[in-house]
Amino acid sequence: MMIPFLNELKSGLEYLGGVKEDSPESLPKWLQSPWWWGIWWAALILLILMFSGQSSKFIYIDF
Amino acid sequence: MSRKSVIAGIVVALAIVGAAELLTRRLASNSVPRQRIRVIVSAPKSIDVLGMGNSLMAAGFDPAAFEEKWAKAGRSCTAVNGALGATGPIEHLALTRLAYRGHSVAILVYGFFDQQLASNVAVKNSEIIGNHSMLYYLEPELTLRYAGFDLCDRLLFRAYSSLALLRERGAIWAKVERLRRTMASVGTPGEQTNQFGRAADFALLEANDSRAFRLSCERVIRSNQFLSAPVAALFRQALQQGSMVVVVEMPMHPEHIKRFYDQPIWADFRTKTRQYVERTGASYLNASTWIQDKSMFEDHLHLSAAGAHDFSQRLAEYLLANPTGLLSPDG
Amino acid sequence: MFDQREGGERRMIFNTLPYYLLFLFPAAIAFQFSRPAWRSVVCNVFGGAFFLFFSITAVGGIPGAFCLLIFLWESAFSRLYRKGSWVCWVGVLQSISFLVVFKYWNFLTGLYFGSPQLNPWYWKGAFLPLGISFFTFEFIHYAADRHQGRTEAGTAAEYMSFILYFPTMVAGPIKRYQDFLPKIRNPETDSLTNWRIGVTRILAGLAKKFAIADLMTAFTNHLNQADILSAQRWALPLWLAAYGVKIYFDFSGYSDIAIGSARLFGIRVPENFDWPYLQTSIADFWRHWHISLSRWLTDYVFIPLGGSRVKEGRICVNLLVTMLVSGLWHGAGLNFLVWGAWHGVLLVAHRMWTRWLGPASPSRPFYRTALCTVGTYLWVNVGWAFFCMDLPTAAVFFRHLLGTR
Repeated sequence: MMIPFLNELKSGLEYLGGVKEDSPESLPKWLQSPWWWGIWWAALILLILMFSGQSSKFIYIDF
Repeated sequence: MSRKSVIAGIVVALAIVGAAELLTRRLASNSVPRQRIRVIVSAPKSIDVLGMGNSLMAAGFDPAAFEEKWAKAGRSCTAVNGALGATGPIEHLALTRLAYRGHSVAILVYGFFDQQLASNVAVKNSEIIGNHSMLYYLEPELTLRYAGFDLCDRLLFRAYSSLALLRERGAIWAKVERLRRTMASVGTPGEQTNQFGRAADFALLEANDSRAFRLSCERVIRSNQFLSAPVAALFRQALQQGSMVVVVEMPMHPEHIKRFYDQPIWADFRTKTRQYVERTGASYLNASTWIQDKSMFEDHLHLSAAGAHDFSQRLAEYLLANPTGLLSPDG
Repeated sequence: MFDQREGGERRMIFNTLPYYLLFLFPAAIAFQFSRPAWRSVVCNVFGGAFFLFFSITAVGGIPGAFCLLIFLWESAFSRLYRKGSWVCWVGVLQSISFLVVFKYWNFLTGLYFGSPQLNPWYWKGAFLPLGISFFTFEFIHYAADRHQGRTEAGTAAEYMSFILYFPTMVAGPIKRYQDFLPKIRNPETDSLTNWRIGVTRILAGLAKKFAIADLMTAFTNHLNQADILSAQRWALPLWLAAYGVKIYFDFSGYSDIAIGSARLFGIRVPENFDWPYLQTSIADFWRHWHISLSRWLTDYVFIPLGGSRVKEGRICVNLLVTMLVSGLWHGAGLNFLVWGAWHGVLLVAHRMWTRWLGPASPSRPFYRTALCTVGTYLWVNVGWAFFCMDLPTAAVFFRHLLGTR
């Protein structure tokens, strides 16, 4: 039971990451909706923005 | 996915990013630079003493202690600390100009250390994070004038100015930096911190060694440019408005003095800097040895609260005794 | 600023605005709207400009930019390749010599003479041309496959577009000409899907790099002698595991960006990572980690040495040699050789183990699969110690970890 579940999870993550074009059959329909894709793309953009400053040297962090 | 679905997804994504933009604008309204701006704007119309500079002045000037000393001498006083950590001369100029809008300032006290008065103010857009972000919204034309941007940085500066997510990115990144520091501390000996951050990091603001310090002094002496353009503009602004300008060599940790200021080059540098400052009409005060007790310092550069209290009261005494600021430049 | 181990230059490029605004988006759009005959020209112009721009601004400076001549030379020289011709071997040798001169010169001369101060052959201004580890391997593949008759020649412009294809220039995947040629001649034309998938892949790659890989450096920055010695012992495996996470998300993230970038052109390049840490054996790990490199090493090192068609002892030697080459490719240092040897020994041990016990049954219980997965993960992570630290530091690490210091 674990292995099929893990395989479905992998397929789902690959679909979300753009590795697979077609959604896995087991993926819930709401994860294929434009609403979800908009949320996902926005989440990726905001994550990138939040974490992209790690090479900046912070001496003061009182701001 | 159909074209309609993709477009719908893009619209949803843009809407969420737009909401994040609005949220960032809202949260940034209480950022540290904006708090400092509010302190200046809401100050009484007549300011007796305005402190200006970077974190040395922000930590080292205690307006309440200053006012207390003047009150004991029978003089009422309004002292305002407009200094802000992690800022440069362009920000100081912008903050000073803000103070002069709608206020009169009797005495402007500008604190500095080492070759800070002459230091290169050129900055890249990628470096405008943290408190520097005020460059985007407080008289951005000053930044365009003094920052030495190339065309790319100029365009980026304009673009970043209009989006809070980019303008305030340093504040967002600071949260991640705190997470990183927490992660980095796992399983390691603790690091000494102060109100601004890690104490060891402030060693980076000092020269690497005495040779590097000497070379920096020699470079400034050779160039004969002891004041950077925004610092000179700041003094000019204040003097034209009728203020007395006192340029203060801030109290330095005894280790810093031993390592750097005891070199012969520093005496030469100080003399030439003083001459240059006094030619502008400002006065020069050497307070570098006012505080000799190491426990009065948070690190090699910043005074502790107790040190700031002592320094501010001594500065108040000095200004009471030297109303023109032209006597006894060594305090 | 620039990490000497393989891939360090990636950091400077895929996370910069110029990559997207000056190169990727204009090139992909120009490629889409250009006539078939002009597609190679578009790739060559943008690829050449990309090489010059990022050589000057990120890697190598002006001398690095001059290395564009290597591509021009290679395009011209490759026109001499014929099936069975010795000229192909010259092509292979000259590609190896590019690597030796630019990447391994100071390392190899240092092995004999010692420190730079004592080394009369030390090259003080040594630099790495952008993407040298990848483009030289593509040169060697083309020469070898042309020798074997496994690929058509294509035109000079098409071959140049293969070697100058900038989405894969600095981070791979290492492409095969016979896969690439049909795709540049007939790219996928469903622009909407290309851009949807490509942009999603790029965003996912950037998120992996920034939000996970870079965050792990909070731990991995401690992998130096001073911090190791002052750390509590239980923190050491955490830091090493963090390095394993970091290198996976960093490299696979960059592969995602490269693959997504290529997709904007309507070109599919090979996948490079396929859940390597979930594999149940070291052999499977190498079939799922940096897949394009593993395939290259199999086709151009392991098989020419005899592959699996020789005696068992010789197969083990072939495996070891192949992994030593892999180690050396990743970095010019003894620690990388040790890392490669580590994996070589693991592969040999796995081969002997499966020959003794037989291959794993597909219907084995889940707990055994989980044990094999965890075991493989642990063996791989121990090896990362040699990858991310020089040998003295790795020794300090293990001595402190095992409590023998």
